[in-house]
Amino acid sequence: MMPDDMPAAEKVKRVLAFEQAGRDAGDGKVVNSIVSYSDAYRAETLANTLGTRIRTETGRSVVGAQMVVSDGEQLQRAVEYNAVVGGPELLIDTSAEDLSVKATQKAVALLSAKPCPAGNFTVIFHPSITGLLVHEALGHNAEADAVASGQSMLEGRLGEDLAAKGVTIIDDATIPGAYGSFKYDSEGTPSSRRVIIDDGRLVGFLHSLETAAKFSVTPNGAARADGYDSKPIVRMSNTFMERGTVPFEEMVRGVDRGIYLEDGHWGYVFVQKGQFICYAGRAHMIENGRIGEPLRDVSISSMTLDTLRNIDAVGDDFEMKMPGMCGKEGQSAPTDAGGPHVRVREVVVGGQQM
Amino acid sequence: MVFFPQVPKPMSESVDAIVQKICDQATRAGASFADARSVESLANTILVQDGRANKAFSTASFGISVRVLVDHCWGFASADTVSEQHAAECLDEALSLARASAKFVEEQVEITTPEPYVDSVRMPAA
Repeated sequence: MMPDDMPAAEKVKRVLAFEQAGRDAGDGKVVNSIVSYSDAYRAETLANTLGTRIRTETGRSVVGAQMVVSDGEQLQRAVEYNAVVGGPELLIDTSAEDLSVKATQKAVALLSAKPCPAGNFTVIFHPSITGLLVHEALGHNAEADAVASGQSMLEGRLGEDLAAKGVTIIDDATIPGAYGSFKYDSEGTPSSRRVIIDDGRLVGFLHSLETAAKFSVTPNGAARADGYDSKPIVRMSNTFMERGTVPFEEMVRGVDRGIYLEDGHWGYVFVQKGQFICYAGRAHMIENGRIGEPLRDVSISSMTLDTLRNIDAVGDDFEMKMPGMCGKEGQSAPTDAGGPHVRVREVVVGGQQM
Repeated sequence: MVFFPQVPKPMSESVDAIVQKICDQATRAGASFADARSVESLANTILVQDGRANKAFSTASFGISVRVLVDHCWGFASADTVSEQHAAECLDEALSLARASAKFVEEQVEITTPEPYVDSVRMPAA
């Protein structure tokens, strides 16, 4: 469907229903609730002096719920969202249980969660945290314009073993229906599947026509422009770690005392330093090989390459559900990120108690 | 009352002709490479807060940009109206910027010559 294939009044009715269901699920604890929906249509027409003539029409839609709950002493917040390359059918395909009700349930659960301990822990990343790692911490460093201008920690390191064996990280703009997918970039180069880390080794970057010439490689379709008034710059698309072989339960069994981080919310990367910070909406203690009590207010800070080297288990599962708009140089681009559960040794966890 | 404008109609022949014509003019003006891009965009947003639909709005834009490579320097200009006149003005400005920059920049821009593609894509497919 394209945006005008559903009447505006029908969209409003469905969004209102999501919001109502979220409040109803809170048993009187919801103090603030927001459900939003957007759909966008974009038509890009490109010609160049070599004979390229491409027209691309794309629809994208996103629906999200943010629920804030209170027990009279504290406030907790949780967010759920869903997005597709598509249109208003998202409002039909999404259920309240998977959106606003789920957000309310998560927020209510946080009311009884304990503050996270601070320290150095073995940590298991949920796929959403893995997504933050591969996009924020590694992906931006693999954009060849950053590499060429000396702003990336990956400069001069092609061919080096930078991550643990078994770690493969890919940016793939060709996945049908994925939020970051496209067929041609804004320079008219066909999109592609780009391997950044292959079994631990740095093997490639994301390129525009200009950076491909600088690195003497074939352009791989990563130059995207936001609007008509933006120049194409090197961007990620759908960035993920490939699944491995370790079942989640086995991963947990191998941890005496650690933390399971869930709900990757946001991250920030100091590209040149190779340092990143990310915040998890919730977490659980892991004690004696078992998932334990729930935790809240968890953030981690680490050096990207240390984290990639300290991965000692890559899960046999996979989830890519972090659709969003990635910002760079004042431009936004639709992207997605994900991967399997991964276990990482020696991660600095910020919290409130020892 | 909630009002959303209609999605723009598929590209008219004129838009296709304008971007092509600008590229031809760029070549005649001495650009070693040029591209012209028009982007039409429309976004609708609905926000419900605490039981009320408190925001419903649309944004729309339709513009064109021209990028040229002259003397190993980029020039770029854009306009928020798509017409032959605006596109020609963008080309002139982009050419001027590239030529002016060429006198000062130390690093010369090279690009990998792209394969030409002719295609029309709709995502999701109709």
